[in-house]
Amino acid sequence: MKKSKLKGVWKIAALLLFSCFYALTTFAQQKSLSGTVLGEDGTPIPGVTVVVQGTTVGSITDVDGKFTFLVPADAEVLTVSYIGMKTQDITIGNQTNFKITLLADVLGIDEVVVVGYGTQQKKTLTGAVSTVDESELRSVPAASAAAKLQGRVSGVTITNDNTPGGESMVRIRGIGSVNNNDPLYIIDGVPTTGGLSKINPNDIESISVLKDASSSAIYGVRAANGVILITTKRGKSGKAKLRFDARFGIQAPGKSLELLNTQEYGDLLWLESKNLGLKQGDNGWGNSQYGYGASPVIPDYIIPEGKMAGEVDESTYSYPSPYNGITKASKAGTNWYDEILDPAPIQEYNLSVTGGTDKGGYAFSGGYMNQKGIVSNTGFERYSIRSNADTKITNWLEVGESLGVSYSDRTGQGTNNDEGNAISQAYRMQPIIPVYDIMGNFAGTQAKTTGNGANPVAILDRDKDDYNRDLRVLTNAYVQVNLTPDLSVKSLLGADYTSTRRQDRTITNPEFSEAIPADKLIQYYYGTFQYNWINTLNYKKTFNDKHNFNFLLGSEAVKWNYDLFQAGRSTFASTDLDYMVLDAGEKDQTANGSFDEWSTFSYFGRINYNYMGKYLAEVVLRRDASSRFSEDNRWGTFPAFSLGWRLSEEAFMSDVKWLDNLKVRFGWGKNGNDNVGGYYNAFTTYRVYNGESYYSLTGSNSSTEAGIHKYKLGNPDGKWEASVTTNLGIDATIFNKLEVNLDIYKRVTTDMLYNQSLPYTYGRLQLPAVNIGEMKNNGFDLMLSYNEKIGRDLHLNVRANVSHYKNEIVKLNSNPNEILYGPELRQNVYTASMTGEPISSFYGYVVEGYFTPDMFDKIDKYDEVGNVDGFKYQLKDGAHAPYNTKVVTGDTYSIPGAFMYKDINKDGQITAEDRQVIGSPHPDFTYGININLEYKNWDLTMFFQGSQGNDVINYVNRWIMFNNFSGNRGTARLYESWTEERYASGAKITQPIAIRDDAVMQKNSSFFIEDGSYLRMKDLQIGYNLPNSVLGKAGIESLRLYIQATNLFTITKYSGLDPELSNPDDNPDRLMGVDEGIYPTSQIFTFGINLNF
Amino acid sequence: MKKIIFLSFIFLVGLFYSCKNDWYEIKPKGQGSPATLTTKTGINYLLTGTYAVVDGTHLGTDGAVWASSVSNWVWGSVASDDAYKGSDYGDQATINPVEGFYADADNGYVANHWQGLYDGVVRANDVLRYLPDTKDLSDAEKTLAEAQAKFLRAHFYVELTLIHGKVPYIDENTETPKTVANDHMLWPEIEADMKFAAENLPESWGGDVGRASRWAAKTYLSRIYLLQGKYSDAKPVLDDVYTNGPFELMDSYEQNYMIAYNNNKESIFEIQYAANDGADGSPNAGWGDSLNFPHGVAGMGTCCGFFQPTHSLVSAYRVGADGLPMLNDTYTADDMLPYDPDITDATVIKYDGNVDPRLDHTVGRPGIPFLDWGVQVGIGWVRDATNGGPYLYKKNMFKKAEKGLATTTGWATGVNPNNFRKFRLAHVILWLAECEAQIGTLARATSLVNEIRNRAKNSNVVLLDDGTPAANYLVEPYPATFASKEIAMKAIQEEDRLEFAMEGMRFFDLVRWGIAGSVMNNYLQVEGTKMAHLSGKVFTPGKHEKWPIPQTQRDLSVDDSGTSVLIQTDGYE
Repeated sequence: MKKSKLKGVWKIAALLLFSCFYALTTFAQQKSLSGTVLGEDGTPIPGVTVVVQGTTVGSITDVDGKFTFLVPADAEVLTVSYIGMKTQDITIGNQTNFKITLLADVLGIDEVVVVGYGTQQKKTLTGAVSTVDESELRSVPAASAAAKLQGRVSGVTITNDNTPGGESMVRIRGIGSVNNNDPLYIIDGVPTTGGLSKINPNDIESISVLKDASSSAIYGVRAANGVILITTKRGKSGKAKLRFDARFGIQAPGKSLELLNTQEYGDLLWLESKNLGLKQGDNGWGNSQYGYGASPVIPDYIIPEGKMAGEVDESTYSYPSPYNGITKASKAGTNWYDEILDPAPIQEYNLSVTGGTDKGGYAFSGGYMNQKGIVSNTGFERYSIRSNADTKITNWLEVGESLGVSYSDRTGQGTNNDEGNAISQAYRMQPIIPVYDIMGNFAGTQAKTTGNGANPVAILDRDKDDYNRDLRVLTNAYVQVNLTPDLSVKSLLGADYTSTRRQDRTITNPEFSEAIPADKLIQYYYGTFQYNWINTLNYKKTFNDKHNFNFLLGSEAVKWNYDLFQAGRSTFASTDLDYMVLDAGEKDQTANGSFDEWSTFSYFGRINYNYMGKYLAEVVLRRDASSRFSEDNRWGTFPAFSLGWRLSEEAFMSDVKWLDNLKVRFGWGKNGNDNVGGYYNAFTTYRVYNGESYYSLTGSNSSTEAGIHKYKLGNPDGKWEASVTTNLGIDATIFNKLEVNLDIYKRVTTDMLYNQSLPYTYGRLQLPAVNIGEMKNNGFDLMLSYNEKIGRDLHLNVRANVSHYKNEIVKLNSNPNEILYGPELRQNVYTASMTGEPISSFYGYVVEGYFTPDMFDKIDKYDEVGNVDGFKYQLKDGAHAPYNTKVVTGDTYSIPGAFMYKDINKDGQITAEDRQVIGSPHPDFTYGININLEYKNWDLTMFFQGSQGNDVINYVNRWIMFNNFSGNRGTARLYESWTEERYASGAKITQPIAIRDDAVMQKNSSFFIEDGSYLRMKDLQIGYNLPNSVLGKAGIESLRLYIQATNLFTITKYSGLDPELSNPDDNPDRLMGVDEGIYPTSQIFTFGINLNF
Repeated sequence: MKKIIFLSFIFLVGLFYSCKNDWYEIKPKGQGSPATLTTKTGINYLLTGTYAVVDGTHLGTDGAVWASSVSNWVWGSVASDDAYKGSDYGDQATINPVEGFYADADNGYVANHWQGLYDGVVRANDVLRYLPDTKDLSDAEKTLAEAQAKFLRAHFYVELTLIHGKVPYIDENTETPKTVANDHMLWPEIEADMKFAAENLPESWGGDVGRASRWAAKTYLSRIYLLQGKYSDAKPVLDDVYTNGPFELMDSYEQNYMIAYNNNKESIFEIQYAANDGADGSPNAGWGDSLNFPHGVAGMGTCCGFFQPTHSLVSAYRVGADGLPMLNDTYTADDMLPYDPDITDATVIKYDGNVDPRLDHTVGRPGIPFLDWGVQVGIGWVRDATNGGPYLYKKNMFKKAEKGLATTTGWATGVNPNNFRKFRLAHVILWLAECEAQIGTLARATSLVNEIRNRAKNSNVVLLDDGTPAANYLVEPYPATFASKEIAMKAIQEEDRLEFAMEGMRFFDLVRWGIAGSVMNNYLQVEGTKMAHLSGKVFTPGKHEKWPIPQTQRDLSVDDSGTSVLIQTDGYE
């Protein structure tokens, strides 16, 4: 941008101000109007907007519901409006004093809805927009607004990350791309990518979710995945209000996995030996801890291994170096879940002051939240303040600002859903290992044959001083000039700044079998800075009382950057917090830094038209340019239109008394997505990187020479990914009690940027994204809302929503058989995306059952002198396809009790070709039901939320039911695994034969698939409002006390810890539904108070 | 009113201010572009980046670094009768099919090997591609860069050819690599590159000991000839290195496996390892072997117990009273040295017959001092003896006194600057002996073999704390000229195994000698009686000498009609 151009803009603005001032002085003769606005019950209503129709001249009622203001002598009609009430138009005539009774608009048809760059009345909306108001957001104790949105809105699927301060994954109407699927968040006009956990959800006034392209196309540039508009609270005219909310809760951990105790673990080892055909005394029989006898014997000591009391000289104990951490066996078995999971408190306090006059308003708030994790030594803390202010300097000039600052701190081990976190280590640790050795230092897998798990208590303890501290400033300021009552221009400058400081301490773990050699400290400083500048012009006019026009024209520029600085050192003389700073580190000085940026620039325009509020139309056009594409492909054009017809306004419908409102809507629109392939997809680059391109040319033992290598292949032809949505919607209100909103949509993503697949003969490179794929989502969103007043005092409100989407990949690239595999977990692939299937379908073998003994010939083996020396199984011809016999001569896998995999391609052998789609992580539908009852001073809320028909891969079972590593095992492997005896007796068998060398059976198969459906009682709340008679004297307006249970119960068939699986991966959709060791959902019991002055 | 409309119009123009192009012209950060590479610095950096692949890089992809390790521990040793994968059965389970000869085209290690080596090819090609346009290099300097790039490219292609057979030839002029067929063995291209290197590289690089010298190229060229059975081409090259090269055998055998003797006088081409060079986790310290250190030994703190010597290898070090190896193929299950899995202290049963002293420089045995780390304790130093036996790999290990040289960061806590000696004079001597045996000059063949055996005889042996030898060590030169070509070959083959055990060569030697089938099946049959993971495994001659072409690479390497241009290795179709 050229500076001189900017200057020009301000010059023009100054001129405008002057001219407007001049224009406004032409108003002359005026008269005074006054009146009172009352509710149906006769009580005055403060804060009601009263304006002369078609102008901005007006006022807001005071505490007593009264208003007085000057109007032009020729003013004809007053419009009286208030949220939740039916808007009334009153002819002025000769009247100067009014008594106006507002009727409750129970279903909020005149509600104002926040849409892109403005607001719209709900009744004239033609796009698919859902809103959530403040009261719903306050119900669930969670750090992030996204978590609070779960189950509230149709068409939105939310998966929570239960780690304190974790970000939820939000998907609007399915999954549109193999690339980034995060929706665009706009907070008070400022687009943000910084996540919602750092924003105090108590500051939010409303959330609008723009679901279809006709409503979101105005944000074309990044709107392909839907847009979530967040509006924070602003001051209203009236006396100052003070509000204080506090809550305190206890979170309780849920279930743990059923794992073996120490004796059972030994029994399992013996069973595995027997299953191998071993006898006592054979090579491979027994275990150095449990001995080599006929049955396992728990030793008294595991370090030194397998020793009994009296055999050990405890005075030889030495720690940490040389390590001789003498450790006693945990005879009963350590329950590692009990060791790391504990009830934990959560508390939250918010204080806000709002107020204003007819010349403006203010809202100040401060909040504090502290959530300890149920996993020891984890937690989240947030301090936030916000200041929003608006002021009308004159009738034609308005300015305002929003400033939100928050500081949050996540402490402790922060990873979730991976094999290395403490939750996973709890099943990777054998029960024989105690938490501490004889001297109180941590015990671990230095004990022989105990595998390579890491003591989770030690991990959590050593990581307790790790932190992740964010300072976030989200701010904007605007100037609005009302050139005429119809025409206004607005300029808004916004900024989103996040600065993060992170500390990662790695403390030596001498008890661990893969102990690290030195203490290490890494400190990170990184942050994003984004600013945007929006200029809009708005023209609103009604002609002949019939033709209502609203015209918007605007431009927006956004620039974003990210920078990182990171430094580390190892080897510290002390790990004391006061000592262990970078300067004290002795070795391995590292410093890393990086910097990235992107920018966009856009023009947009929108025309809304309606004829007497009956026939509605909207047309949107947006043009965007993105720095991520080369010059030739930089600009994208995104059009949209929508139409609506309010049938209930037609004369022929006036006889249908039970139908209060009926509107049909149709919309079509196109959106774009540029958040793909990194920031520099167009460029081929080379990288200097010490891990990949350095070499010690001089022969030095401790230094290397720098080199460079080809890192990324560019695609200068890359262009916008486009998503086209067609939406058909119906809104109806029946008996003024039941409101129904139904949307049916089809969303097609074309030119989907897909990472080019090239063979390794091009090098091991980051491959560019090319526009080649196509994806389709069909679905419907249904919302129902029902209100009933039963008797005098009982109010019932029920809101329910159901969302369904069906995702299908139409095309990945020119190869119809292309398979985009998900990430490998321990050499196995769990998800794959391919043409004709939903994205990230589960992929693997199909288990048809277990091989049975009658399928085999048992052949004696002979030793050198001709004596029978064991036997082997030979699969009978035609009994079943064996595992990979073509390459395994003497297939040792196909034995009785092993999985029979289905021979999909019927080639007589089981190979990798026999994998297919075996499940889907996508739900048939997700839903939420909120029931609210009010009786006199009491209120009761019940909120249920769930997901139906989605599969889950229980990857944890690979660790606990198979010999992946020598960690602990599930009880079913001992008691319900296949053995000849159990098979013969018809006993319950849920697991295959327990053998040590079972790398084949732990390959991904239908065995690991489980039904992930669940129904969760998310919220149960009982509140009591203290009666006015008590409060009046204290000057308190209202005081509500409540108790609450969150996640009281979950109904699911899933055998793992929790069926709600979030994935913190960069591209979480590629491993969706895979349980690698999830941070479990906790129950929370809360006491809270809402106080208003 | 008119004024307002006019001003609104002006405002509109302001609203639609157009951004200049530099608002969007955002370039990649911290990255080199192709234009920056046609300089002296650029070429030097590209060349270093190519050397960087030889020592095994690829931290990014699990498995690639181990599968493409320059030590070839998986393909040359685990696949042979020298070593087990070791460790837990389930850890790096995709090596099991390599060890048991049931790997298919979807095997992860097969694909990872392909990936690592072709990355090297592409980097060497980048040097050659940018070199002609480089202005600030003299012709002589360009030739030196070209010769190094070709040396390295030949190396990568040798590795690819040895493991996958016919592979596509991608060079600096290839426009669309995915359409290149694998229609022939690449020996002619490999020979051409290596000859160019042998003719143009300097005899020495002075301080840059890590660069390939003319002698390295010549030695490599002779190896390339031998791999094709071209003894008559190999012999003059080997004679040249033996006679004219500046190399001498080290005084003591084990010095070739010690950090203190990196780049010694015996060394011809050494892969340089550097630890704690400022890169997190020491990725330049031989990460290809990072799994292959003792696991869970108190005070040692290394990882992960992979790559364990077999019973077969250990028994091969037995010598008769004459100090000579037993050359008759009588290795049986009874010859597997006894060990009692229950005994966990140092008083394990040791083989008390005579053994070649090179055994205890190569293999960590229970009851024998493991360098200066103390006496190896029973099977207590082994991760899972039922899967990997009682022995440990020793040659890459660092001494306790050198612990400070090993990495201080990362989980791969064993990596250290103990270089991998790819070629040393001993190779040249034994290969030359082989050439002499082939043409029938048995006297020279015998004296060359004895040169190696005499050095072994005069080497240090492993001593107990009290200064006595840890076992009954005995090694003697052959007292008389080999009686026949067959006996000579047998002796040379055995000597190769003993001298270079666990160095990733054995399998390829068995294949080029044409004895892989008989040796491997005997080994699998014998070991299968005690080691469950080898039970029932069979080596199929004509097939298992090579590994498949990775299926994913076949699927991706297609011509315009979508047909794969890569044919599968014989036997894996």
